[in-house]
Amino acid sequence: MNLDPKNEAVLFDIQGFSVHDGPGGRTTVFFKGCPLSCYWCCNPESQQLAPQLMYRHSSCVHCFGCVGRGVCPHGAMSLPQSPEDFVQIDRGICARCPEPVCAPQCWHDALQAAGRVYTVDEVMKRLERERRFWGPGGGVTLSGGEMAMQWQFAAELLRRCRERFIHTAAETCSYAPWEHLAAVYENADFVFNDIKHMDPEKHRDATGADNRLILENIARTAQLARDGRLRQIIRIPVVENFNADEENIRATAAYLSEIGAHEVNILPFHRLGASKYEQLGRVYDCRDMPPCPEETLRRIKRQLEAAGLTCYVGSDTPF
Amino acid sequence: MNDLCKDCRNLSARDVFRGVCTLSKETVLIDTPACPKFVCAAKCKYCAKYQPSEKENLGVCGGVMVYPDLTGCEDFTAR
Amino acid sequence: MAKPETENNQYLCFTCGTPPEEIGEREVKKSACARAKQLLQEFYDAKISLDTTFPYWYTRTWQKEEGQHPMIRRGLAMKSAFSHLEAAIRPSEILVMSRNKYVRGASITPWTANEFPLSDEERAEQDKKIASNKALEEITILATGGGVVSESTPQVLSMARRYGLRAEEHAALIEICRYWKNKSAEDTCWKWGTMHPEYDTLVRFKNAVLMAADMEYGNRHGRSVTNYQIVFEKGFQGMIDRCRELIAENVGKGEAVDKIAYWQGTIYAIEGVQAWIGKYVAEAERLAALETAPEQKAVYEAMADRLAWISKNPPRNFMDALQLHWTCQLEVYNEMQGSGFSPGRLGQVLYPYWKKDIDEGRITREQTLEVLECMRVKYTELEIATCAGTTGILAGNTFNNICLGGVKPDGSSAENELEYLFVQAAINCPTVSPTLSVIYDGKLSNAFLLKCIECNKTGCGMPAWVSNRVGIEYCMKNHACEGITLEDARAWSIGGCLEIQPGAVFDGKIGAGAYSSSGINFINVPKVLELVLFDGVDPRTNVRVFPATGKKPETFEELLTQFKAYFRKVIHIFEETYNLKVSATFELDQPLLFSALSADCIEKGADIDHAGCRYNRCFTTWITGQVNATNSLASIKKNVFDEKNFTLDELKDALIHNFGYVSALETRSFSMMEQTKAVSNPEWERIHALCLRAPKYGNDDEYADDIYIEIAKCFRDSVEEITDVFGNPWCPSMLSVGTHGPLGQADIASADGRLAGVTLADGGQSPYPGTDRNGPYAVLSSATVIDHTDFKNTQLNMKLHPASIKGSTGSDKMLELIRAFMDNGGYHIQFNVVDSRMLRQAQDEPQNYRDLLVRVAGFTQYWCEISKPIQDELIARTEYEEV
Repeated sequence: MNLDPKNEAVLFDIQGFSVHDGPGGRTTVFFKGCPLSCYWCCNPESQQLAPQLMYRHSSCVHCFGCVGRGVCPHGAMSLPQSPEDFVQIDRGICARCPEPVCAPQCWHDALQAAGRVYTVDEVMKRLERERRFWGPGGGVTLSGGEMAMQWQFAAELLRRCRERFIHTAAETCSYAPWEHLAAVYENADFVFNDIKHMDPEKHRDATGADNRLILENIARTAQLARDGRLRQIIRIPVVENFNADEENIRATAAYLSEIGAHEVNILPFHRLGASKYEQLGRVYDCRDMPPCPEETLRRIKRQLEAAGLTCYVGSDTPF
Repeated sequence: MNDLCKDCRNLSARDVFRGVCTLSKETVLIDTPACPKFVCAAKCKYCAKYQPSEKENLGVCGGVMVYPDLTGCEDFTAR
Repeated sequence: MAKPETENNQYLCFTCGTPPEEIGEREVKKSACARAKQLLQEFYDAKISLDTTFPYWYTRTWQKEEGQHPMIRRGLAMKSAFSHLEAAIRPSEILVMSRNKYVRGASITPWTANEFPLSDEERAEQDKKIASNKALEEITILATGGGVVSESTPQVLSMARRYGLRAEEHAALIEICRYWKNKSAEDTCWKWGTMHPEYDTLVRFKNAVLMAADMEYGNRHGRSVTNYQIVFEKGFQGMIDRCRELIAENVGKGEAVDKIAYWQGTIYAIEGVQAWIGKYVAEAERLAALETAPEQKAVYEAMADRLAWISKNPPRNFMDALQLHWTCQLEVYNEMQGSGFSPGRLGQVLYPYWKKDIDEGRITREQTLEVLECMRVKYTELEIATCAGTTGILAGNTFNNICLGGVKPDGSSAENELEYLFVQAAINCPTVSPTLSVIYDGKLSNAFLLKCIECNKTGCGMPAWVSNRVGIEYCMKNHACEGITLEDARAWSIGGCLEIQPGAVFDGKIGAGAYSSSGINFINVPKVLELVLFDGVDPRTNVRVFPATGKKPETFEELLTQFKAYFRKVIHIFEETYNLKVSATFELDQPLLFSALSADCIEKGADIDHAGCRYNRCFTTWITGQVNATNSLASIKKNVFDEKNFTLDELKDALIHNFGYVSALETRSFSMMEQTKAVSNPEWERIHALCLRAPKYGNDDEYADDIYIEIAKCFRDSVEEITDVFGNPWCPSMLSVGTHGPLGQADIASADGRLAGVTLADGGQSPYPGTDRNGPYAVLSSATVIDHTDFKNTQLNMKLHPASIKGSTGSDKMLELIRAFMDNGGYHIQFNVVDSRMLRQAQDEPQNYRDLLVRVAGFTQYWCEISKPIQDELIARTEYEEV
């Protein structure tokens, strides 16, 4: 794909009335592509940057019209062994396709494209339409995926928003060159920084990368917050059996106190379904993910507050 | 006549199936046979002036059509 | 981090797979007082019952008084009917009186509508002659749960699939209905209608179900605001005295004969009401004498005293005023055939009495809450007797709307503390009626508005939110021809579920009144498009509605022009014949009591049917399915004309074959979510997919929204081209009530991808369930493309998952959303705050969800008393998981 990085990006959704992504009513822009691959990710289609094909088995009626009519110009589709089975898609061939041209050809909407190219103008147009309904505190939030992977577009978008007096927020895993993040933060009012785990090995094991760069970047962001340039909210996705234990939380609290961050939003994660993984033709990572008990959340909150941090649980936030 | 709760002056109506007895304060099915405390309601079928007609559930009084369970008439005179 | 929000998010953490195990509970749940709980239980236990006394005595006296001036005859018949009603009082009541002796009692008004109790054979003869509702009733599916009596037993007969009638009263009721043959509004109005040279066109329109039920006798009056000022200032006796005064002043004027008859008729009617109240006084005294418990005895005694007082005098205090207003509501319901006689800004009307009582220690806030909760149950007990076709539309609701907030005639904020208690009573004791609406204005306090949001979070669907600016502007525009003042416009309130009416708010002087909003009961807009596609033939019934043209549209503009031409013709024929038909009713069922309450009838000497009201431009035409029609036209434009994906003939073939699906009328599943495939035809599947994907209204997409604007403009302009019986232009309006069920059942598959028999879009601005893909802001954008002040009302229903508005920040955001919508020109928005899985479970186990309330379209109803087609649509509207 040949994109103009300042002006074009692959996004997989734009959603209005996002009430938990910053103050007021907001419109959230979801960037496709992520440098990490956390095992609890609810939107696996956000990980790969290029547009992808999603094949929804529940909508498939096994007519095999897609194969019969040769809707894939690259020959990625073939018939299964038995008619009760699903269309066989060679994902290797599929990945070469810049955009799934096959998707509109399924008359039962079992094939869907995840992500497409947007321009800054297009996103701004949408924001200008939606802002009439945000109310006074609202604005735009960049999310995804990871917005920093397409940092030039993200930075330009926020610059244009500032020009138009639109309040700006950005969510990031912070796994990116600092210069890229700094360019985006230039015009950000609110920043949400995730911390998955303090232990680098456990972090790598769960997300595919260690946390050194992430922690450095979060510290730099905290400095910007202390300088009054933006408001920083630390986010912890609480995954039972992974990062909810006392030791990790203790280490997290210590780190946050040290860097001078002070607001934390903890988000409990439930077990999720296999559906989207299946639609991407990926194997679902079935590492154990039991629901997070209330008591765990309360304990984490206590630990963080004991370290002098402000802790919000779930959607119970002051913004 | 087989008197039912629905024909009793002490029945307080609720709907076409049930009512409340103002003496016992119990909810009753109005088609239940009445108890010894029965007092007939001011219905045409208990009135001296009522004349039944050939048609079921219709009658005549002073040349005007009435029906056996009609209530509210000021000229009611018990038989 | 990836975590897009969906309806099923509890903790923002997933967008796919299974939602949390526990069904999302609504956030706010409080508890009613003991007395209201008791009343509610009695309500749940009660079956909907018909009383024969009222129509019997009315008819008997009407016959006796033949030869009298129609107004006198009417007054005497009313007096007789009221004074013969039986009283029933329940120990749990403080506010007392019902329409008749039954808890959920109605009675038919055969002088208006006498046909529906008669047997099918007797009606068949009539149906053949006239443009009947037969076609509509055949496809109407009704609710069977809750208090509905849907089946007969040896002792109780089911009437119109809803009401229980004692078997022993049936013969008398039939005789009464037979008496009114060729005399009733229902039987005579069609004869007057045949004065129209194109009456046969009307018959064909009705047979194709281009419209829901007739209002001229099926729902004759209502969607009005009841005015209490006159009765509060003068009392019933004072009103009688005033009529006597006016008679005395006018006997010397020959031109005033009708006025004299009107005043005298009014006197008789009010005397009837006084005698009726007297029955309750006697019953209260009788129960007091029998009662041994001193507290309850005191309740009965206070009741007797209060009733005796208000039978003649203006109210002395809040309880008097509340009881008197309630008595007026009942008298109006008993007198007229209709629905939606709304109490208006009741909190503001009662406030001076309440404030005085609170300040002087005669009542406490707890006592106020208790009686307001009881009042909610009393309102919910109100029933009206209608034929099955009308029941299908009204869904068992009577549409009593109390408006809160807004401004006073002088422009200052009108909120008050009593209104807070009205809201609290609805939070504590959620019931169907009265429905609450907030007239949103920037002058209202945040505390008041957030209190109303708190009530929204109980999930009872109220208050709805309406815009003060739109209401005032509408009044100034619509009643300009009648010289409306700004004060009367500011005092506006809602009649029925949403109709803007110049209101009647106290301000030390008599407030305005307006005529009923009645007229053309929901034109089936998608059906108009069907006629365009099938060259004038209704594809469901093969009725030829319009003459064949033999021409096929070559461009989209030609097709749209033909659609507008048909639409305009349908509107005109309906309105023109209605004018003729409704005129037949004006000497038959004049609303004497309602007129006596309304400004300026007594002073003018004319009832509302003879233009006695201050404002009379109210005859209204409503439409349903305009969103489906918009989407269908957009699909045709894109697929047939712009992209040439298929031809018009190919489309018609797919539509006739329902895209290969079994009809919803066979499967009895009425939402798009649960349809069954019969035949697999790849060509139909291709066409169906393209139809479903075509641009849809509700996504802020000009392609569809521009068509919506065209339809709305054509509607508005066509409606106003015809004048009503008072010489004013007709008024366009957009709602759905429950019509999107039956009219959807009458429509075949459409080019928007909707399947045959499936329920249409609700309201006026709501997107079709599942087709709004760009989120709530896009819906609001689409909803504000028209000028809402052009219409007597508009309606937008929105679903919110409880999790998305949790906590105080959630409340703030919900309020911001409402404000923004109003600021951008919207008139109405209302919310269903419920997890759709609760609705599904309630559909399977209705007995476990007897008290579940949901918002339908401008009104709240018990889930178990909603018909399946509307239930299916509500579930679809509430839920569409992103999978």
